[in-house]
Amino acid sequence: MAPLKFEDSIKEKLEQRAIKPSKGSWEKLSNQMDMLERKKRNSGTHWYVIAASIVGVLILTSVFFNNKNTSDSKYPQLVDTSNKELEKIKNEELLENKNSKKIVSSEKTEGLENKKKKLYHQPEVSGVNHVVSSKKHILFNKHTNHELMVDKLAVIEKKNSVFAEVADSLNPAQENHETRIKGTLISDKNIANVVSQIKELQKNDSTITTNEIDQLLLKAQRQITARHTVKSNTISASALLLDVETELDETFKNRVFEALKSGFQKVKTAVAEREN
Amino acid sequence: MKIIQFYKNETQLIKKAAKQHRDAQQHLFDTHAPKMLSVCRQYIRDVHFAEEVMLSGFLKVFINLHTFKFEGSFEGWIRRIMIREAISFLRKEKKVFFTEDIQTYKEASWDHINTELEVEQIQELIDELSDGYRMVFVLYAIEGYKHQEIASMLGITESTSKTQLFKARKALQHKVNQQNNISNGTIKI
Repeated sequence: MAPLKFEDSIKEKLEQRAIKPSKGSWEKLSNQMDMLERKKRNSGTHWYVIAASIVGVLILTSVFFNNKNTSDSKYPQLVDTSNKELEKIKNEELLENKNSKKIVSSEKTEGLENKKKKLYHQPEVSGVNHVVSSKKHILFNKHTNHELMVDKLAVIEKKNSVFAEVADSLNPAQENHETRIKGTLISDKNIANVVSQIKELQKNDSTITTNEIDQLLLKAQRQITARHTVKSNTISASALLLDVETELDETFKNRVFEALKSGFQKVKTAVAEREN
Repeated sequence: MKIIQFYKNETQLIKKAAKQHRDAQQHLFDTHAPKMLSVCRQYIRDVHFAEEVMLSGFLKVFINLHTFKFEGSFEGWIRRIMIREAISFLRKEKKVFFTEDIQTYKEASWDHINTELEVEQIQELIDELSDGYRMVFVLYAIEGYKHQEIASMLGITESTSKTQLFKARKALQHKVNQQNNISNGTIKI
């Protein structure tokens, strides 16, 4: 019990004891606390910076990958379907050629006067539609065939563009070669058509004016240029503008010519009536 | 006076200190620092080091004040933090050795021991003990920890804690006897 008594007395005395700390002890402690708070704030900002940078990197990577995906989707891989497309296009062209032959044969049955009237009066549209419209003038009796042709030509145009894109992505050299061959074929066909038309005109009508020949040649030229523009992968903006300008000029010319013609007719009739 | 009246309620004071109100923290420091320095001084011989330990202990108190649940006394909570801080300081400063040689000591008679010692004398006697003995003795005899708790706090076995206490008591008895003999004028050689 004695050690317990001794220890109890020690305990009491030590618990009652109080040692006053030095004067600057609180200042020291408050400084330490301020330092800690600053460190905390700094570490907090560091974490914010790190978090922001991570988020930024994530956004950049997502944007990068999205762009990559979209760029890939711009050039779809149509390797397997390209052959089918080519075959389809060839079939469509063959059908078109057959139709054109039919059109030419049907021209024999029609009168030259009707042809001339339609050629002069119907307005012309640019591109592939131009070719269609020129044929439309001639084939006023066969509207159904003409509509089919227009649809087919539109389909061909679309398929040609798809084919051009795919072929360009696969092998541009081969594509150029093919277009060249096609171009020559088309031009040969057109020339043959023009010659046949002139021959027919000669057969039907003994007197063929140079204007008629010029009209036919111009028509053929337009057909060729239109085909070229459709077939060729690269369409220059300047060429298109030139085409449009020429068409506009032409129509303007026609209008002026028509106006003069009508005015002259009016004057002529007025003078004739006066004389009578 | 105004501050003392304002912070009459300790709970309110602690809550404000937890929200990093400097004046509340200072008031808590001024209230508890002398006692806590005394606690630290029981373990650490040098009063300057004891004060440093006390300041680091108070820093921990103010950092972790939001974890105080108001279940026990606030002083007891701070005291526990101070004790742990003092022990960790002693461990950092120098390696504390706990000898485990279990010997049979004869119980010394405390009958003739003068228990009417001054606080400073008691502190001197405790300071003369080795770190291991002192820690176990103060934790057991003054703070009232059990051997199991002391063992877990110091990372020793319960038996080691018991041995350390026994040796510390023996050494302290010897020193008290010496001091009594000096004061009585009878020195045994």
